This record gives sequence, structure tokens and C-alpha cells, in this order.
Amino acid sequence: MPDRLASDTNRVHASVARLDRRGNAGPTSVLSFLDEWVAVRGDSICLTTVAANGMATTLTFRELEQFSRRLGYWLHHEVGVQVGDTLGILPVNDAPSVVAFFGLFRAGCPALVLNPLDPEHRLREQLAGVHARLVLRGPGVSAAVLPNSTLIPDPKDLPDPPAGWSGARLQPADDALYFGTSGSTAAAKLVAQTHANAVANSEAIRRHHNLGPQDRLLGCLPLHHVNGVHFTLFATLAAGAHAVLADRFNPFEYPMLLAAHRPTLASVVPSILEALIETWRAPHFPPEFRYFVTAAAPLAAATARLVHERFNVRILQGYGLTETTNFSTTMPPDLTEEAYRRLSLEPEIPSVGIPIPGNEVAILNMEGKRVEPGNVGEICMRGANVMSRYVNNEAATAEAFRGGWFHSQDLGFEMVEARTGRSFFFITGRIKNIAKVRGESVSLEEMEHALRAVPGIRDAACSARPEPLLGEVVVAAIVASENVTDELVMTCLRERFAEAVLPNRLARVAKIPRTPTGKILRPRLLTLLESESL
Amino acid sequence: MTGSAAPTPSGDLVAAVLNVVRGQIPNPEVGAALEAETSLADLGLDSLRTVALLVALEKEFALEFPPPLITAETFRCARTIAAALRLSASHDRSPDA
Repeated sequence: MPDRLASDTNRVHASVARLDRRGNAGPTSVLSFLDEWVAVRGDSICLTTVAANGMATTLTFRELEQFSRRLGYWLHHEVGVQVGDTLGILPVNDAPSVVAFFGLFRAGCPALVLNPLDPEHRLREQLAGVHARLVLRGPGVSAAVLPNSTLIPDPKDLPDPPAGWSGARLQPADDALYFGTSGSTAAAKLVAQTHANAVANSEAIRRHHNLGPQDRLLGCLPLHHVNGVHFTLFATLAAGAHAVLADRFNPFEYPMLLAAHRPTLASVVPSILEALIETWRAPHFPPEFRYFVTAAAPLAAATARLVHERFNVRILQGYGLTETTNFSTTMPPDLTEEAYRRLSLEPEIPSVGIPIPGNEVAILNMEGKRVEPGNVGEICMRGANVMSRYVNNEAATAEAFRGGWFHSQDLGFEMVEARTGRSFFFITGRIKNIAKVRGESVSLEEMEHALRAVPGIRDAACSARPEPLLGEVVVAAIVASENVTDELVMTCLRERFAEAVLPNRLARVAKIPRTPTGKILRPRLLTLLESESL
Repeated sequence: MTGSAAPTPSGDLVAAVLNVVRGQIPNPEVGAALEAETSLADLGLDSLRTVALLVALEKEFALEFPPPLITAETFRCARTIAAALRLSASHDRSPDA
């Protein structure tokens, strides 16, 4: 790969010793986990998918292994793809989509993971970035989302590969998955995650939560999200645990899912917890339930406290980026009641916890030097979870990996707990211009770019505003002639952005506050938008 | 405010509900076409916006929905919400509510 080597790449990855729990022959990909568990407990259930109508489908380790081989063989012999071809996948939370991830790995095809709610224009732009040969779509995704995409067949209807077919021989450094990411630049970047990244992240999560075959993890986050695929699917598989994957989050059905499937852990985002606080008024958790794990957007202190008061269960907040595969830090599960109060309930900003195994986290200043605990700086990571690179974007990779650290563009500080010597991290803000709407990152600069392309709009700027339940919403300020209707603006934005992240409000302003060199003065923009809303 | 006053004539209550629902519909033009029987899911009211609607209704009508009424069926359309509100108002007046 010509775009693979950036000067600091090796330093970013080599700093932490490889995670290797099984001697020399460590897992090359998450398929190694699957093959191992098939040998040990092949007939146990590893996956339950729950459809919108409540119908559950289960797969055992052996079935998942067999179906992934069928799908891999189908890709080679029916679809005609070759080892190393890049494909796109539009997954939904159902069994065929899950099998497809493993089938793609069997076939040796790295996959760009796409959001089925994104408009076609956006999907095509991302697909062009990896020269995808074709796109697979889950049964729940309409063909209209991306004409010419290929429906993932029901693996039950596919033939077994002939004896001797073994699929691709994967290497840990091979690309496994690509994800679009919304950083601070107008153009979305594509993150390349290797099989080694996926293995390291799952293994680190398994260790951090001490997951084992006795565990059941309830997930409802979408599989196109890193948290959905890496935590719900891969980490549970690494542990030989059982993943229960709901079609989506439904506040009215969620309590029944907890009662019916009795998970030990549940993976959520703060919006889900906020919704449950409002809707679940007679809460009852199964006795096996250990805690919620929340990530993807900041957990509000009030939410942590309300969950504690009303549900009497813990929330372990975690933190990571697509660029760090999934998780970099998570609150430890072994905290005393006093420590949980001090770190999660009492501070205005609940902690995101400690680095998970195989990861190093540091707070660096503008010069790239570590700052003392308690001082705010940029949160930087290195280790086994850090992506291999941005696809075909050496400049962006080099910028992100400068000084041998991955730069998150998030701000925070570190606190060393005297009793245990462990470093807890807290996030205070961000350098990048993004909004986190329902746990999805939206690049404000990309939206500004799209707004300025609307005929009649002379200038535009966007801001993220806090909003109950959604986390944040985008508010846009536009300088436009009167004949530019809100409807026209929204129609143009719909071509590029998913409905859920569109601006909540279009404020008409006379001028966007900018510096003499043309940079948007974001604090002044915020003041302007606040005065506009009065 | 309807609150715990005498039962409101159903037409007025549905109209009051429609007003609150319009405030939660992302697209104002879609909101304008809203009627008592219009499916809220079809108008783009997803799960999180439905929860926001629940919070807005409880604030507007100064009551709490009893847990058995917090269901997807309650939030199907303005008419079903109005029916649930009537039941909730009587629930709120019961001595142990």
C-alpha cells in the first residue's frame, strides 16, 4: 500500500508490547477467536439478533463459523471477487449482516462500512475513496439506498464450500475495515483499521471487563458504528460470550429486552440512558446485570446521577475514536462505591476511565510535551488500537501521528489516584469542529462547505448546541438572499447528510464573524446564534 | 393548561396535543399537515424524538403518564396520546397517585 508508511507510524504502534495471550501463535484476525471457540464450545449460542417485531434469531459459534465460510466462498465463486478486493457493506443489526462481516474476512476482502441512513451521494463519495468493487447490503436495507448494491443472501440457503477451501490467508497487518470519520476538515477522511487493530481492541475489552463465556452483552448500537461492530460483535466473540443485538434502540421495548435476555453488560450511548430515565418508571434489572458501558458522546453528570438514583446500577464511561479502533479508555469495573462516586457521580464531568490494555494515553501540550496531571492539554494515544492510517491521505496521517502519538483533537486532563496509582482521564472539550448528534460525529466544516455551495448563500457557519436526548444539534447561521428558502437549503443538505444530523435551525444573519484572515470566530458565532434565538 | 381539571372536551384535547406534537416534528411543513390520526412515526418522529414528546406533553399538561401507558401504542398518533392523557389525568387524581 503506497499510503501506508508515514514517518511516525511505527512509533505510534510499536510503543506497547503486543497483546498475546496464547504464546507465539497469537490471533491473526477475529476469525481466530471464532475458530478457537468453535473448538471449545461450538454448540453454545454466540449471537442472538432481535428484530423490530421482537423475533429472536440465534447462531451458535459453529453456525457462525460455517455461515461465514459459506459467505466467503459465495463471494469468491458466485460474486467473483478476489482476495484483496475492497468491498462496501451497508449493514443493519441482523444475522446476515453479522455473518457478512466474518464472510468478508474469510474471503480476504477489506470492507468499507457504510451508514444505510446516509444519502447516496455521500455513500458514493466514500466508496470512491477506497475503489470498492461492489457493495453488500443487509436484508433490512432498501435497494433504493444504493442502486446496484448486492443483497446479502441468507447463509442458510448457501452451499458449503468444497472440502479443501480455506479462504484467504490473512496477515495481522492486512486492512480489515474502513470507516468514514468526521474530523475537523471539510472532507471526511477514511480510517483504515487492520486485523491486528480489531484483535487488539477486542482482547483489550475482554481483559478490561473480564468478559468470559458466562457473559451476555446487550447491544443496540448500529453495526455501521465502530462501537457496534468492535464491542458488541468482536469483543464478545474474543471472550466466547453471547452478543444480543437488537434491531435498534426502542425505549418502550428495551426493558423487555433486559428481562428476556438477562444481559450481564449493556452497550449504550448517553442518549439511550437519558431516554430510559424518562420512560422506564418501574425499573427492574436482571440479577446478572453488571453495568452499562457508554461511549460515543459525553456522559452528563446529571445522567450518571439519575441512573444511579433511579436504576441503582453503574455506568462505566469509555472513550475512543474510530482512529483508535473503538475504545482507548474505560472506567474500571472494580471501583469501590466511594471511588465510583468520586469519579463518576460527583464531578461535573464524569471520568472516561483508565487506558484499556495495550493502549497508552497522554495529555500533551502544543509542543507535544506531556503536561502535569490536572492540566488540560490534547488527549493523545499510542499502541495497538491506533489505526494504520487514513486511506490515501498521507498528509492527514502524518499530521495525526506527529511526534509518535495519535492526536485526538480532544482536550482533557489526567488525574492520578493516590491509592491505586492509576491514571484517570477526563474530557473537557475539543479542538476539532464537530457536533456529536446521537453519538454520530458531524463535521461542522463539511456542513459549512455544503451550505456555501447552495445557490444564493453567500456565507455560512455552523455551531454545535447542547440538546436534551440528542446530545448536541447543529445550528447553522447563513448569509443569504431572501429567495433562498429554508426548504431549498435543507433539500441541498439532504443530498450530503443523513436526516438525523441536519441543522435544527437556520439562522439568517447579516454577517458571519471572521478573523481578518477569514477564519470563523467560533465563540462569537455562538454568541450571535444565542442572541438570534431570543 | 388542562392539568387535573375536569375532563377536557376531546376535540380541544386533541387540538392541544397536536400543538405539542408539532413542536417536536423536525420538518415544519410536515408538521402543518398533521392530523389526529396521522402516524407520528411516518412523520419522522423516531424513538428519541418520541421521548422528547413525552417530556413535552407531561410539562404542558402538568401530569405524569402512568408506566403502563408509556408504550409505543400511546405515541402512535395524536388521538392515542389524547386518550392516554385522559387516563393519566384520572390516574393522577387517585388518592395514592
